[in-house]
Amino acid sequence: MKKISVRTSDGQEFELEENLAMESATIKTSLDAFSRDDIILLPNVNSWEMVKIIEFFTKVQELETKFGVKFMEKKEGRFLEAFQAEFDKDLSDDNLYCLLWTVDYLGIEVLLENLCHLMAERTKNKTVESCRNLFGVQHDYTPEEEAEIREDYSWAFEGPEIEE
Amino acid sequence: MDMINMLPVECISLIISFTSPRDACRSSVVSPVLRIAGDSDFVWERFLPQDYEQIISQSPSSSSLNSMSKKNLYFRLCSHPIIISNGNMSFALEKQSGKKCYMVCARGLTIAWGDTPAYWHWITLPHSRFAEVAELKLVWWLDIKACIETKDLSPGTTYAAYLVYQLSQHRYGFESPLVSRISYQQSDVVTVHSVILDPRPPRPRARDRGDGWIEVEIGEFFVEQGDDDDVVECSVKEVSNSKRGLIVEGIEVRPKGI
Repeated sequence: MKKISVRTSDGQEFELEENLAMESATIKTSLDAFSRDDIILLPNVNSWEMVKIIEFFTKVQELETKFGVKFMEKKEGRFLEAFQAEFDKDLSDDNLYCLLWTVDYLGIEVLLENLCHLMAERTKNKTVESCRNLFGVQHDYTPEEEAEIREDYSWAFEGPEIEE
Repeated sequence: MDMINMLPVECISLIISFTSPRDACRSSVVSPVLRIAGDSDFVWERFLPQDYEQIISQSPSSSSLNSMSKKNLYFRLCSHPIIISNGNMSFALEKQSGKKCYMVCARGLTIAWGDTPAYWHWITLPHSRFAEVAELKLVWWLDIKACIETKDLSPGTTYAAYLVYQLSQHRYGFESPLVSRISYQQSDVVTVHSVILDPRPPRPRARDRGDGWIEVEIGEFFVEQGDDDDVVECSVKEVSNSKRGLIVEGIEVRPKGI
C-alpha cells in the first residue's frame, strides 16, 4: 500500500498508510491539490498527536476486522467500549481535548466519534461544578438564569451525582 | 484550559449526543455554549428512536410533530402519547432514556366474548385516549390478552406490562385474584403471577395512574434485540367467578421501573 508522507508542526515526518491518510478529509484535500510524492505539511498537528492518531486508527481497523463490520456503518456500542477500554485510562482530560481538536481539524470522522464518546463518558452524572471544571468554563449564568434552567429541568437533577 | 471555546460547537454537540437526555438537560446549566450545543436537532435526533419518523407518520398530528424542533418533539412524545396504528395503539417515550412505550387499546386486545353484547359493550369515555373502551356487563370467563411484536420495542430493555382499567361503582368479583401471564410465542419462557384488580384496600400492584385510570402489573419481560421475529403475549384471566363492572382502556408496555 502506498505511503503518504506528512510533516508535523515540530518538524517530525511520518509515513502514513494510504487508507489512514484518505480517512482525513484535510489530508485528502491536500493530496487532490498536490502530487502524492510531496510531503504534506500539518502545521496544526504535533508529533505526539500524530503518534496517538496512528495508534487509534490501527485499533479501529483491528476492531473492524474482529467485528466484521465497518464502524461508520453500524456504530455499535461494542466498538466504542473496546476503544474506551484500550485508551481511556492513559489519556488526561487536556490531552483528550487536544486530540479531539486535532482529529476534528484533520476531519477523521471515525476517530472523532470514538474520542467524543470518551469525553461523553467523563461527563455522565457529574455535578454541574465538575462539568465546569472539565470543560474549563466560567460560571457564565446569573444566579437567576441558573435557577430558572434548573427549575425547567428539575427532573434531571434528581438522583445521584458525582463530585470530582 | 478553555476547552469549550477551542472545540467547534458541532463537536460539543457530538459529545453531548453520546450522553443521555438527562445529561443533555443538565449540561444546559453548565454554560450557555453547552446549552446551545445540547439543544441542537443533531443531539435530540440521536435520543429519539431510530424509526421515529415512520412511527410519527402514522399519527393524525404528524405534520405538526414534524415541524417541531427535535428536542420539543422528544418532550412532546414523553408527555403526550400519540395515537397510531389506525387508532389501535398509542405511542410515547420514556423521558430519562428515550425508550418506547406503547398502549394497545381495548379494540386491539383479544377479549374473550368481547363481541357478545350480553357480556361486553363498547363505549366512549371522554378521559380515554382511545375512541372506545370495553365495559364488562357480566361474565364468568374473563380472558384479556395483548400480543406485542418485540421488533417494535427498544432493544436491551426490561419491559413491564400493565392492564389499564377502571372499576365501576357496581363492580363485583374483583376482590379475588386473577392469573396474569407473560409468554413468548417462540420460546417456552412463561411467567405467571396472581393479581387483584380491586384497589381497595391499597395494594402494591394496583395503583392509580393519575390520568383517571388504574393499572395493575401483569408481569415483566426482557427484549434483547428488536429484530427477532417474536411476539410477547400479556394476559389476565379468571374463569371461576362471575364478574361485572370492569372498564378496560388497554394494556400498556413500558420500561420497568417507571
